[in-house]
Amino acid sequence: MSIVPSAIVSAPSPWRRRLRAERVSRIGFAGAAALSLVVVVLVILFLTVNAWPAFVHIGIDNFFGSATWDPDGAVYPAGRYGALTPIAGSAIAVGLALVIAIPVGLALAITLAETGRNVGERVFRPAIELFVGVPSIVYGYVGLVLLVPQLEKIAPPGTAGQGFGAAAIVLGVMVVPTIATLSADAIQSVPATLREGSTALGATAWQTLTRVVFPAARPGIISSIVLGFARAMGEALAVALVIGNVARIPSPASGLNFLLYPTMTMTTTITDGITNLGANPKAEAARYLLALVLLLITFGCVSAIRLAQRRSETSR
Amino acid sequence: MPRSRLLGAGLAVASVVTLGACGDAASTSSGPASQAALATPSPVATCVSGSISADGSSAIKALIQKAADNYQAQCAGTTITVAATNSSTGVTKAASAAVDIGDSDIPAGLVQGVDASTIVDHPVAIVLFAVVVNSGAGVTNLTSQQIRDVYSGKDTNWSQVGGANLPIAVFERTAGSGTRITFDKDVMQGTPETTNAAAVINTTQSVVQSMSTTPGGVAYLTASSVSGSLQAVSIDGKAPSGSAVAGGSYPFFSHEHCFTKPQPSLLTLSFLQYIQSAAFQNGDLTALKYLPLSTTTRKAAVDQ
Repeated sequence: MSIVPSAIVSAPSPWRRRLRAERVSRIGFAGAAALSLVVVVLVILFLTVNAWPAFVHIGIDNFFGSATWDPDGAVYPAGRYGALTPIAGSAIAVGLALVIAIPVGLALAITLAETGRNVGERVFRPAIELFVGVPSIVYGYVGLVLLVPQLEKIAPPGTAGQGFGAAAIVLGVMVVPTIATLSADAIQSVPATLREGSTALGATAWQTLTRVVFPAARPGIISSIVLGFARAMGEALAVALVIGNVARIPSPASGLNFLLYPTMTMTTTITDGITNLGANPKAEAARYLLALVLLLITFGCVSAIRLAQRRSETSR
Repeated sequence: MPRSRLLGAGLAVASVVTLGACGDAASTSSGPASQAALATPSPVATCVSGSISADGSSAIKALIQKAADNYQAQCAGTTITVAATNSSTGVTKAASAAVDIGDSDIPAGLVQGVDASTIVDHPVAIVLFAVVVNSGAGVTNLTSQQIRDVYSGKDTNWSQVGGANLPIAVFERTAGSGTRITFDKDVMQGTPETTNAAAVINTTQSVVQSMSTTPGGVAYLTASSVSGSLQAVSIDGKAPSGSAVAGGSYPFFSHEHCFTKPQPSLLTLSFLQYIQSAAFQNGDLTALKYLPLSTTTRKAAVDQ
């Protein structure tokens, strides 16, 4: 097991001391790794325990089999717990956000990685990395004050510009820096010999990029998209400000208005319930169950992509 | 590398400054602000020393905090800790004796899981609410029935209630909001709010922001938050005001409550008496844009 030769183990004190330090730090690292696992398990346990009344009093069939979501009894005094509306809302909002963020993020990544060291590294990268750290409330506030009033001008009567469109744009802009910087790292880490070989064989810059660099950098690019997806999926504050929080998925037949009718996501309805903690145990349990579903969806997607990635790597 | 760090730091400073500006904008548009306080604080009649805590509704935090500041400044050896979460938490914590005073916009009976008979209600102020429209809607007066028709989704254009030819955009508050509970009981009187809202919003500040950019917008708010292009409408011909509440003709108001155990500490009693004293009610409380308890003996439906 030990990688330290036995001659060193029996060596006098300076070596011994270093060895002990190494052993202690190894235990420390293993402890940190174990702690992160324990935290994940505890989070799942906590959500499951708190969501348990929902399994008992609402029922899984009711929860996943209906789209009428009114846990606080605003319209139906007994409450309605059809979670399909917030689940579909999250899926659509995040899907649309990625449609915006992936092309823009990858284009930025190429600019970062392939333009001259000076401009890309010294100007673009710090600027974009800064955007990763901008708090989400800032994105949400800018979206509410600048974007929503513009969308309102083309929105259908009785609405205010809040909906999937505004949410997708805000979320898209939010995850672009994540995708751009991590993808740029992946592209930059492709060995120069591969590019040189490709160029030497007569490939154009575009051919080198699409047929050599991208395939080689694919695992890193996919990781960046997965992280962007996770951030968009879990974002609550920014989305809550611009999506309207109305429990309804617009009809796909409404064309462009599909993007302009107010709707909700899992995170926004969970945030809404925070002001109401302790007042309605059944609604609270329903929201815990929703949080559990959100966690499992994110887990599931991340694992599925990782699994597919590993399979494609071994088959290559 | 050092240069890029410098650039990063510069941009970071810029974004922090922007953030600060946002924070300021949000706090100035939020209801009763502490800047409105009087130069000389209302005097405390009898001091009791010790320490107590209060938690609950954020809508009356400014009021409780002001009273606590005054009391502590005038009474040596007194510590009053004021926190704010929400009304339900305040009532729950008062019932479990986790705090000495639980603040709430709504009566204890409306909070599930709490036995209201185990705590005592001390009303401390009256809050005036208003139905507001964007000035673009072209209405200044609505009957109760018209408000119910607008909010139930029956009317969808302002021209149906005597205003401009403009679609109505209905803004609602999140279920559980004290403002919404009061509106649903006192104005809607049981008629459910429409499910076709333009947005369901969880803070007063966001309501003000959304309303100001939506010409056809309608919302309900604490009257002290009405500003800019927002127009408070008269309900059945009565504009929201202390005198309309006093006359019994304006329905949209509620009491703010402090809940304690049946036998609170002397300091708790003394502090609540201070808030209820004429000096504080007509002084700091009025300056913070709450209405004094003496405004009316009538209770709003939500308080009954």
